[in-house]
Amino acid sequence: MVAPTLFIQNGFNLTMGDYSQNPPLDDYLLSFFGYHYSQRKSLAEPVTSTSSGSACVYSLPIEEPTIALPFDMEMLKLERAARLEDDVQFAQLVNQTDWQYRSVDDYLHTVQLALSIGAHLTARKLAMEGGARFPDHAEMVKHARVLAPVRTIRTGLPPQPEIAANMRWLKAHRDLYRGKWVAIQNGELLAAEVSFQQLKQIVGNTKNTGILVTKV
Amino acid sequence: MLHYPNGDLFSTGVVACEIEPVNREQEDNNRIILSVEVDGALTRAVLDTGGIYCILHPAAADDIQFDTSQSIGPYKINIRGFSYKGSLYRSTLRINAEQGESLEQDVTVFVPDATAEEWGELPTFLGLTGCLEYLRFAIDPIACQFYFASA
Repeated sequence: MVAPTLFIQNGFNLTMGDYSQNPPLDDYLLSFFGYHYSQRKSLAEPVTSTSSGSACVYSLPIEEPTIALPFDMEMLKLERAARLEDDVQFAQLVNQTDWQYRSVDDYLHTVQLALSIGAHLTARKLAMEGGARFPDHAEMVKHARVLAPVRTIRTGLPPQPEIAANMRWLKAHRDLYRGKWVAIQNGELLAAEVSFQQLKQIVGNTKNTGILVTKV
Repeated sequence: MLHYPNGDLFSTGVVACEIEPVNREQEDNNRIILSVEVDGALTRAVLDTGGIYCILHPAAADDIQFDTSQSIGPYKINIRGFSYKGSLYRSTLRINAEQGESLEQDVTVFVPDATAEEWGELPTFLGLTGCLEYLRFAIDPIACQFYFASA
């Protein structure tokens, strides 16, 4: 865990570390104090020689007494990387985080952040880890199941030559039915309509029927 | 079927594929198109090794009637430069062989929040991560044959 770099001084002033300019920090403070970043005033220019990096002192209209904030730097960094859609940094941060002390909510939130920026392998890795660590948490287990690697269910199933007949029909009749919705079965046209809804009224639900419905 | 040099099978099934634009009026590039089943619904699908998941045409999703309580999301996925919102499910992809053996795999499916009409000529996409990643395949572009096996 990264040491907190934010604390309250004299009840109203905040000293911030090198994340003082990040929008996620404002969101974070908002969740604790109902404050908005537009209300903050800088009391000093950034100081660059502190032990924790650069720092700023701000005045904020908050009412809480002097307390230490439970400042979760790692999650803030992940949220920041997600907001910037920096999937490379996001993956690096996930790898640097010690997940064994993290809650199921942290896992789920980070999986959701990963999916939101297209970091699909990172989302899978975390979902699988979270599913294994929290096997009784339905939402976590569902994420793990949906994002799991592909699994072969059955092999050795009988061939279905009629599937290729549908392809051949499409190839032979594409120009004639261009722009229409068609239903084909065993290489024979069942119906052709201008709209999908019109076609469905004729052929109904085609699940497990071997009927291919497609727009040509 | 195709074999490794030691005689082991490389592919256990083969099926005809199309190698042409999905829609000649909207694109000028060839695609490898298969007819596959997702949870029992037949759909024309483009092999998209640069993509992710099985992105399912809403016409097929309409027949399947997924249980939304088993979904995760919604999320947005970029497809051909456009961002589509939808949810992720787990479902069965069946690749039917014309000769040899058909096979079924458990894959991740993205169901777009769109109607079949809105999706239109866009096909189903078979992406690599979460869909094709454990499928061994080879293509004969002249005979338009797709050879496959479980990896």
